[in-house]
Amino acid sequence: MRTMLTATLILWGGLLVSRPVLAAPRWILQKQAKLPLTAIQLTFQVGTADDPKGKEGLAYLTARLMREGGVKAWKGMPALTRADIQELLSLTGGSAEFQVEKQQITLKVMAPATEADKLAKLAVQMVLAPAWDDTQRTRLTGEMEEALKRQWPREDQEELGKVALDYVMYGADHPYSHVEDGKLASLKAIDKAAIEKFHKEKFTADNLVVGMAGVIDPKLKTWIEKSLAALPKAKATSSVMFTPPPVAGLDLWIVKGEFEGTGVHLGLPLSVNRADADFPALYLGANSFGKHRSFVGRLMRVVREVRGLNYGTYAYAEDFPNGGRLLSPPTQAARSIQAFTMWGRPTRPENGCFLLRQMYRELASLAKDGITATEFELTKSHLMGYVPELALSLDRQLGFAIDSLFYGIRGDYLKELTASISKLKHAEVNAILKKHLKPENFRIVVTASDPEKFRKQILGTDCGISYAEGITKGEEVLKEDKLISETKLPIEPTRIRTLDAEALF
Amino acid sequence: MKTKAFLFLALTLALASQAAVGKSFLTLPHRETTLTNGLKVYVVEFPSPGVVAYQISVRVGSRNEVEKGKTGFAHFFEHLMFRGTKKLSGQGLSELYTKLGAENNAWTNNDFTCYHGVVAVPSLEKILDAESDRFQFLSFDEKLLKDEAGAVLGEYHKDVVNPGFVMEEKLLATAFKVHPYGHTTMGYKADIVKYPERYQDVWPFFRAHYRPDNVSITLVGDVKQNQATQLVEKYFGSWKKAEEKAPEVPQEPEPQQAKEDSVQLDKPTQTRLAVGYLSPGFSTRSKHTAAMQYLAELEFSSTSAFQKEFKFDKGWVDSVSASPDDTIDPSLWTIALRLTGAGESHLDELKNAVTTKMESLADKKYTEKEISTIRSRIKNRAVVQWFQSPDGLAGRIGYYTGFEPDLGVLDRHLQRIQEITAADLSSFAKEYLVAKRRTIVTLKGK
Repeated sequence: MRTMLTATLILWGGLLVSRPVLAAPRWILQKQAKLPLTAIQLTFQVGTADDPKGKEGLAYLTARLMREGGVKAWKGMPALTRADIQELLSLTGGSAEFQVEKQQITLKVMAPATEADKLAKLAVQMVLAPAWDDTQRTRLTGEMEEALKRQWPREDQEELGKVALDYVMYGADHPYSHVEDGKLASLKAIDKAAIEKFHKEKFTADNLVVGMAGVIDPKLKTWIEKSLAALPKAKATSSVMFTPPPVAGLDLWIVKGEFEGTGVHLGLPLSVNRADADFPALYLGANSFGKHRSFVGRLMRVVREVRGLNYGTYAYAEDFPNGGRLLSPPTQAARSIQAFTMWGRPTRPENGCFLLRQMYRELASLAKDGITATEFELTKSHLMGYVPELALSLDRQLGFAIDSLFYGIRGDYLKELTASISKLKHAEVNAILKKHLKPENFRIVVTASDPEKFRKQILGTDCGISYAEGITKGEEVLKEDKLISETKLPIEPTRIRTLDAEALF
Repeated sequence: MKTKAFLFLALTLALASQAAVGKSFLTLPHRETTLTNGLKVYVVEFPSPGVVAYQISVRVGSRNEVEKGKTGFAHFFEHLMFRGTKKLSGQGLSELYTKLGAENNAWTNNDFTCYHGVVAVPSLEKILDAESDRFQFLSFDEKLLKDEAGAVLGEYHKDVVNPGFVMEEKLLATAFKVHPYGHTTMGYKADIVKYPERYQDVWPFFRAHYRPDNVSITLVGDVKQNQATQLVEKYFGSWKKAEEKAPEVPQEPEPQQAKEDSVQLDKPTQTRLAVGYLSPGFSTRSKHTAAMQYLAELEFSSTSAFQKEFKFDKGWVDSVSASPDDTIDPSLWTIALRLTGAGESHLDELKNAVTTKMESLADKKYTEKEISTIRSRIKNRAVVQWFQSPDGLAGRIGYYTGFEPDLGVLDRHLQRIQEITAADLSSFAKEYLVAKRRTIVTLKGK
């Protein structure tokens, strides 16, 4: 699926540098006159990964301030305060929201077709003439601080585990290793000048894809096009990503926090993304192993259904931000580097060690023996029906098309993926899983309230499963339980380390 | 005389329905049908090539958990519905959905239990076949019920970690003494732990509520109205009504005094405040539902003076939620605030600000400009909400026809929205936004 538009890959000092190149503002139009709606999306190829060192949080604060900090008068359109903007949005019944991800920032507008011109104008003003209101900047910075102090480290154990996994997979210095809110220490370093500079350098025509769907008024389209010509023509300054240097051997980080249960995350960066020939097989394999919030996956069966260890255990061939809230993968969250990850929701602390050993044992088995013929047929059939259902709404249809430009996919990604899956053979999927999954090199994160106890358990022999009172299991399950509890992780004790949740923020 | 009256009524209805179709908000081709067994079928042709969304709504929720010890039964039943029939085991059902690539799921709330999904059009018939089988012939043994009881308890444990859930539990229990809205959809923990012993009790509940005249099926997508309706009839037309009648839902007596309680968590969390007023259930026959929507927009939305002062200027709260819930019976219209660190020492001021505002709305005179702004806002927003995706539309139709069983509910609701005047808002506030109907709960962390 890789084409001429694709990311240029350069080997540079042993690091893989990926620099996706996009030509000046490109347009995607998807007309659908039967629905009384207009969707407009402006996706800039810039994100939290572009935060300068010491100014982590800059991309997010810039985007939030573009949305909430008012706009200046521009080409005959009046200046608007935050409150005016809110009033305008409310009156039209539409929305104009920024989505900020690692390498993409999208302004998504959705409006009744009759109101589209008002919101298109507002969107253009937000992008070209932000007013950077000081009061709103102080307020938003305060909210980000609050999130870093209290929400991230404490209020969602599972999202915390995923943040920690990015941190340990890519390394503390990698652009992926901080959350959109940035870092507590760096928020103070972000002043108005830094925001304006970032805006000028990154929100450029060369970094932009514009999408329009639903009822498309040609006059409005032309107006947007002409207006956006005012964007700086600066050369694309998209993020420069490097894969972490390969590390041999397992690493386990225990993140300490006040948690009721113990959560488990495993991951390994991949050299494959959705534009590569190996992707459809890897995607099928990951779904068969642990489709997001579904019983399609093997992990869901052996961990939840058979043993009732937790609410769910999943696996991914692509990053899936916000998985705790979303059922379908978000669009416009593309990344140059993807990873194969596994997410085990929290289990009772006494079963945390068992959960990790079971997930690791399943991973090792997946890499070595792949999926079974039955699993292959079932997942293949499932994905052929499911993949076309991923883009039901106008905004998601646009989103997938915009992401295809990011990855350099020329055709309709979902159609191509479905077609590729239909041609896959069982042996081929297993060979590709074996080729990319190296269980011996995975990074592991465990979120637990008592790291020392967990460390002792994982190194020792006391790692059985304890079922709730009154629950009985068949002989076969008990026999496998014994095997799981006795299969130690091939890890050096010195490579089991503890990390305070606060340290990540 | 009787016949004449009937004819006149029929004629009026036909005219009303034609008029509604003529300028209906639902601009996509649609059809509604009532099968002879009472099952409602709604079909909308939506431009979603090759794909159709379906929603099967049962008019049962925690509202119907009238009997002692059976709280959470509607939700428990939602789980049990995935446990199979004699023809197709739970695993078989799950495999069928998997094979077809159908994204299927279910949820339960106060009033409804909904089974919904999205599927490729050629697979719709197989889905309807399997669905009609489980709705009519659900069958599982005691062991499966015990397994599922464990899963529900696990879900309760997951929910109870969330401060918002703990807050809701306390708020409802404080506000309602008689009506089943006093417990959350999950039910009381004391009841959930006893589910493993409830095998005999679940069947009468199933037969009383899972009956064709208590269910609607909505299809939205790349289908033709007539063919799709016939397909539903083919699989659900022979479903027979059961004899069991559901017990009456006891209504909450008129409250006599304001109530207040608090929750102290033993972990750090942001302070929260909820102020609820016992308000009327959803109806298009009065303007109450529309009035609440207006007041929530005018007083608490992101354009309100309240949010300007306490969120955007003072920064005391970072979240304000005030959308009224649409429910069958009178329920709480709740204003919920989450306080920032800066706001914590101002909890009492915030509490006063909310109650003073709510309880003085009867005297407030809104201008025509304020009213007309909200009018456009609600109407425009409805366009976005209803047409954004086929599954979203199916969900909304399934939900609102649960209150009033015809597609016209949509147009009637928007009509009430159009008609609202400042006087309507004032008279609503005078009757319902009064101290004796108020319940306050605060939640603090350590």
